[in-house]
Amino acid sequence: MADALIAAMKTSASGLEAQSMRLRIISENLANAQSTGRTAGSDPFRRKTIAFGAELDRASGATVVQVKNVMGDQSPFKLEFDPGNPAANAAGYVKMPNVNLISEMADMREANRSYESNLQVVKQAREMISMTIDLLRGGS
Amino acid sequence: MSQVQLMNLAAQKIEWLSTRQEILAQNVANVNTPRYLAKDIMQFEAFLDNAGLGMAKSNPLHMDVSAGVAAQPNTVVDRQGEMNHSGNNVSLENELLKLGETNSQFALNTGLIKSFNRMLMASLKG
Repeated sequence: MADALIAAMKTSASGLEAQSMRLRIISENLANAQSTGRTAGSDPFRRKTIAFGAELDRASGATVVQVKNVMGDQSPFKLEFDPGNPAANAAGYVKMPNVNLISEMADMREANRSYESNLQVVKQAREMISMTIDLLRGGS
Repeated sequence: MSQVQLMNLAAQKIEWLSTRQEILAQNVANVNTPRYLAKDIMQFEAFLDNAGLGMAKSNPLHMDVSAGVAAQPNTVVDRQGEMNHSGNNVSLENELLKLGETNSQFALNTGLIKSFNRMLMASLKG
């Protein structure tokens, strides 16, 4: 019985971990939203994306969530005219990162909501375990 | 007491509820996983039919109809609900609603066990 509840907490913990990893990637993207290359015509920071996958944890038999891979976003870079920049190419254009602030913000809200829900599950499972333990106290 | 098997029934309900909690936790954890389908547990009535409470025997020559082994509650894949672009159909509101339901049923169940126990103790002490 408690095994199932502990497995539930383990699964939620994996969800918390995955969502915080997602938040980390988002903060990397936001922090580097203006990071250009160093040499003339070089590529700037490439936006990172994160992918999750459901995986069976053989030790506990619970299906947990794991970060499958972190990839670079292949969408094209924006070009900005700035001849004075050291990263400008021969025509005076600088490649800017393909980070979209609005979609990063939306992603951040979603990560926040998912994190909250996982936390709620942990709380409820803990409450259920303590209710079971309370049976021993009130039995006399 | 043993004829009505109150404690046995309560224990099975607790097992069913904790397994349900585990499955709901999986759904919530995988809310952003592509191609993940929401799961739920089979109905408690169906689980009870599988597990069987067994029939009380008043004579050893009676046929043994107790199922004996505790069955494991099965999971069912939920194919309803809106499908996302990523092929995920977990609805967070729905899952949290089910979690609250599971929690209150668990509270009711432990409360019942507590009161059975109190009755048992009262009859022992006289």
